[in-house]
Amino acid sequence: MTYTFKIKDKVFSVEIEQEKDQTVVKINEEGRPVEFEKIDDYIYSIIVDGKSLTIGVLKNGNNIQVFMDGDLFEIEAISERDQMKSSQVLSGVQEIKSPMPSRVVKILKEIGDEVDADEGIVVVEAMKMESELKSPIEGKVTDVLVNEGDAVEAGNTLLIVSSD
Amino acid sequence: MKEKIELLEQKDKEAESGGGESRIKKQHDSGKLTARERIDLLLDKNTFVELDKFVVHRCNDFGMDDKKFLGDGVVTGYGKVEGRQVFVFAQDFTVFGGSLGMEHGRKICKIMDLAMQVGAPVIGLSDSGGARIQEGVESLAGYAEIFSRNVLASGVVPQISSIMGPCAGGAVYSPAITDFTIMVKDKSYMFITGPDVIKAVTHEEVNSEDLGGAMVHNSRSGVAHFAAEDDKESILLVKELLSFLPSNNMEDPPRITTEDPSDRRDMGLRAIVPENPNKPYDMKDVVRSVVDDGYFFEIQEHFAQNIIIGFARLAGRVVGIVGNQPNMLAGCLDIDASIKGGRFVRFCDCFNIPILTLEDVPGFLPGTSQEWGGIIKHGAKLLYAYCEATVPRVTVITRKAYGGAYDVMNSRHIRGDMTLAYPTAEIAVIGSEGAVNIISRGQIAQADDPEAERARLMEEYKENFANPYKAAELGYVDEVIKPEDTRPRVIAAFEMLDGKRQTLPPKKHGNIPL
Repeated sequence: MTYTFKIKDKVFSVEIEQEKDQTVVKINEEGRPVEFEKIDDYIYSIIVDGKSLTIGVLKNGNNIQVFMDGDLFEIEAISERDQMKSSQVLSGVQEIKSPMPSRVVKILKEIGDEVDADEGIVVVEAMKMESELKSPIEGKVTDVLVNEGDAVEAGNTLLIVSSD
Repeated sequence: MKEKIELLEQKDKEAESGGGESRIKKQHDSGKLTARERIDLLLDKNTFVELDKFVVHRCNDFGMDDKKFLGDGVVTGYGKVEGRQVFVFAQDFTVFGGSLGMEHGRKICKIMDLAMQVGAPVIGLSDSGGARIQEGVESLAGYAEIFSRNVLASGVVPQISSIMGPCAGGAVYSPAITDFTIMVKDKSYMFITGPDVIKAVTHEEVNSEDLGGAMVHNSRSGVAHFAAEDDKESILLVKELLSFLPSNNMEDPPRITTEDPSDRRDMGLRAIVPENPNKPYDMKDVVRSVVDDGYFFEIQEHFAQNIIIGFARLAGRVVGIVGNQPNMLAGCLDIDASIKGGRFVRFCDCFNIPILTLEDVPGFLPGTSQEWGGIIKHGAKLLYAYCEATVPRVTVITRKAYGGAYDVMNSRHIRGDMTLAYPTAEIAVIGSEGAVNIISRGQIAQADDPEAERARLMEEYKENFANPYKAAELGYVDEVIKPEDTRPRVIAAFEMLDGKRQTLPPKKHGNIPL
């Protein structure tokens, strides 16, 4: 199995293989024998290139903090699937669609208004519950297709935001 | 001896070259991998054992006798995924367009039979033009033999289908019966009758993608459970899905160790669930706060988004999660949500996966489209599934639990094992406005200021009934908990329920309203 880690903007692919009686860790295809042992909940002892090191590892979800020799490394573990996802950046023209049959309660932005990514731009109500729809991108509102009070179906376009 | 070995090597090579270089190139050019490349991606290195490599069809009509390919358009066998045994078949689009004839079908049946005997999952990678018309009824027989095995294997071993090319006509029913279906975007489509037939019969014009593409089946029809960007992602999805599943119905799902402490409390939960019943929130935030490492593997994320389903782990143990989603339609139950939830609950029950239900439900969706669409019988599916399930079942009521939907969402009355509720829970027959309008209609009408009276009565109702304590007095809620204690309490409940044994009355099978 290949693991992928990110330190700052650098990506490392790591494979751990058992060769005869030693463990070989391949980092970006380059292999080296490693011995390691867990000493305590967060403490590991490793021997690599003839050097013995004690490292501390703190895990919080996909974020791992590694303390070694007085240095702190912030590492992010990414799954192969995440890697595929993160390469797709949203941009261009985005239609803000009603996710469900609902009523438009409030339009928060007018044509020409600047919006940030994740900023609320319209509020719809369904089943007495008001939901704020957010802009998926940073850009400008280029069109408003509905009025407050309109009943809309799932999939109807309410506003258009463009990043250009 | 040497020549005999050479002959074998030559045959091996012939079989492995599928439909030949030019067809393989065409497959690659269209952004697809070949059957063998897909299997390579799926299985651990050097674990694939191919069966029936030299099988050929026996059709002599339409000049088929001089067109034979070793393997007959499908690669079948067994191997390991993360060290665990699985069976796999991959249709080879480079041979007769992956079309299914008698021998092709027989090869698939052989590995399905083996999988059931040894109790290992079956993974089908579909890429097929459909029935091999030259083989006539034999081809239909091939399909039907597969369907009947899909059904016999259902609930015995997990079955996963990945649709990586066309899948049309009767062929769709095999994936439809399997537990999970993945579709590759822009490369795959599924339908019973294609655009040409539709145009001829109903004069409706539609292309393959709009009719049965990956997103159509992931968001509209609910036929598929996952949409993958490409072949590789679909294989990664299969592998991840397998990591949550036992190999068969006699085993428990795989348990892993986790460094996420079982007693971790999250004060953030107090802020996630708004007190105001008309404010939405994302139930997935609650899920992520509670489960190991905040990791939720969502299933059918684009379909019936008013309910969420998926797998996660608690203290290293796999749980199936069913949650109402206040962000969408206030989390109410409708036809699609009931079907989505019901099928998932039954899957978990088949394969010994405990179920955690996160409840915030205002009721069933009102409207003619729902009533005429049969919400009565479809809603009953979710109810039926919960009533029938014998795996450990824990509910957390975060906010609303109204009316019949309260009963349906894994209540204690339908054999739910543990019901926990937040102090914000409102367990009642209906919301305050509806209740007051019905109970105190006369009193409101006679009041000097009807609106003020209505408001006063609503406040009174809220105070007396829109809380978890009435239900707790009756023992219908086992414990009212602080939101931050959700993870430790839920883990404790599932640990306590670990040894749960419950059986259904002996019967052939129940009669779930279909």
